[in-house]
Amino acid sequence: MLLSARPLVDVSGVNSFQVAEQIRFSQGDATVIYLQLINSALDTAGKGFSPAGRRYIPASGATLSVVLDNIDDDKKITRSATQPYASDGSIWAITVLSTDDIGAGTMSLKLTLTEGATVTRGVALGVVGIVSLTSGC
Amino acid sequence: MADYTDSKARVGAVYPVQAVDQQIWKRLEPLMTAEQLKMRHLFGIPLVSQIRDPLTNKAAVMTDDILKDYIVRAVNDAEIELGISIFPVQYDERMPFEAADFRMQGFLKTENKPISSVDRMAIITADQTNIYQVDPAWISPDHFSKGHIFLLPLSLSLAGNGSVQGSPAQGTVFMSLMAHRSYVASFWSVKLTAGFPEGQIPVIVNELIGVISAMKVLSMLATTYARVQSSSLSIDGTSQSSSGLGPAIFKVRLDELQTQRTLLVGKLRGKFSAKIFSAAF
Repeated sequence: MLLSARPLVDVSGVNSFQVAEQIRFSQGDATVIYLQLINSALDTAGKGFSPAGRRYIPASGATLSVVLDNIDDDKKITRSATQPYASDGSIWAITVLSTDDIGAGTMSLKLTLTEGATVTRGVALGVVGIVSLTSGC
Repeated sequence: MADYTDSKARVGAVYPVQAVDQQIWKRLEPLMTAEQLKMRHLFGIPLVSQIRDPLTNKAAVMTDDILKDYIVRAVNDAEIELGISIFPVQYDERMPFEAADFRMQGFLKTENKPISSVDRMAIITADQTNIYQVDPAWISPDHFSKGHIFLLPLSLSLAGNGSVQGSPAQGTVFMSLMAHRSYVASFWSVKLTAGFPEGQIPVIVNELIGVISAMKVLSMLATTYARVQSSSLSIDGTSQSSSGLGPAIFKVRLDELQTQRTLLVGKLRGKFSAKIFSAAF
């Protein structure tokens, strides 16, 4: 089990969403980031699966903590993800507030999934792209 | 855990170098996506193997997940070719004391660049005891982009703005070393952050990443065109022959990409490094 997540866009239901490479939004915008948990050790790209990774539905009552990673500890954002759809436990959502000081650029997510006594960690590399409004860094 | 409480930040942006304000224009963007790679460098090229799997009779397809893997590897290739960090990394470098450089306002040339911030500059002993910490106010950020650090103003005083971390006796021993030696190995400890903050990548660096990725992709695809280059069929007096480029199908495009890659590497290395630095004193 290699936990990861793929970003979803255009989400309106358990059967209505698009798998994206990266969720992009402008710096300072409030955004809901939808993720689908996957086991990236299964259904790999090398075996011809697209999108790669098998959807993973955690146990009932599981919690997911998501960190928008940044080398500066003051700019790291930790959110407890929620499951917006009870009928599909693999889809989770976190909210980025307009007041969050997370900078602009390419962000990876650190995932911590707790299912009872089992804690599983994973990374979703470069799945969030925040566009600067000034284009300077 | 990176702590930036006492950091000396750069002046202006890492890129455009030292920019303090600008009219909105796209000079920076997040890391290239697979879709952008196809649009910018692989337009119209079918990412499908020309050789079918003999077991399934299906052609392998280069999916976006595979392209993303190529992009990640290309980032690492670009960092090595350019000699810079692209995504932010905090380093702890040990550098020697050289009397000639020290007379040039404490000039230090770091291994890692472009420097985004200097987070600590200190004199640390071999057993990692911090005995003298340079006041961040003394560190000049003017040439951070090229990995150069200067101290302004220069002072050997143990009191005042610098802070003595260990006992005064330890500080005295090291200060006397400076007076009598022209070279002391691993004297300075500089904790710095190098790279483009938050992965906000210059478009031109993304361009290089895309070129490197595209070269890997086309080289891999070209191999699948190797099966038949020419064939001919003749029956009695009638004949037909056909030939193709085979694995050379992408040669022209690969040559163009190589030229572009060489050009971009040269330009970017010139932007973020200095080959020769000299001063008369």
